[in-house]
Amino acid sequence: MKKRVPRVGDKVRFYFGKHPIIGQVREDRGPLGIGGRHLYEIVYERGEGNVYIVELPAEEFEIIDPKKEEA
Amino acid sequence: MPSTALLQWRGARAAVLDEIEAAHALVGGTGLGRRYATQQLNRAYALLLSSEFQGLCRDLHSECVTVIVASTPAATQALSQAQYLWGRQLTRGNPQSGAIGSDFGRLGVVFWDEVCALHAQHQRRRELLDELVTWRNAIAHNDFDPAVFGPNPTLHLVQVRAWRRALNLLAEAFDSVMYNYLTGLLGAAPWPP
Repeated sequence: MKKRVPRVGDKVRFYFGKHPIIGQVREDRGPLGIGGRHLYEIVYERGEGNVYIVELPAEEFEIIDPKKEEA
Repeated sequence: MPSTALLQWRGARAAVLDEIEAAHALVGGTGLGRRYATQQLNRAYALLLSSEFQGLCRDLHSECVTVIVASTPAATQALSQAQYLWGRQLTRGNPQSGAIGSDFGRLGVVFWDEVCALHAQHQRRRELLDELVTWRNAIAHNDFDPAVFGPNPTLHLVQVRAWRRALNLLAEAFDSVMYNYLTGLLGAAPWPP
């Protein structure tokens, strides 16, 4: 199944090595990645109130389906 | 070929700024009303110019970080990228020359030294950038310090155009500096030459 294009507000999962991190897409940064890949700014928290950002192409994170999350 | 950030500066970002130029030309008449209207347009133009230049700098920084991070082990890429982006002033702040130098400096380049080494006029253009940001802040906060702006601060179109010309040349220089720096650092061109 083809992955859908990420949208602002999507909850996503990416990895620090083997550690999964949950974050939220805050902005489509445009085709700034290698080979013109779109980058997405993802904001995430590590410990209460410690907010960080990463900018990743869509291949490097997965969108969390809110329906599956509720189940 | 330049970075995507520079292509966007020359393309979509320039088009946005040109719209203000076009609006300026449409304000007709020669009376006092026109002077008030164009003054507001000139201030809007300065705000937009500052904002678009911040966007260029932030985009170029992101492009450079992505290239550097891609040269590190896959398992640590997200981690090292988070470090480069931590506290980046260009993410939310104004494109003051100090902020630009600080953010790019974290990539290992003595940024403004390299930019100013490219052309004798770039130091003056750096001063013009900071002048624009000073105006931008005064406009955005409606706080014109009489000691800086005088009793009746007026912004002329010719001044905004001069800032824009300076930023156009700085944008080209930023691209060149980072292209050369990253090519030397990584042994390969960061984007197609």
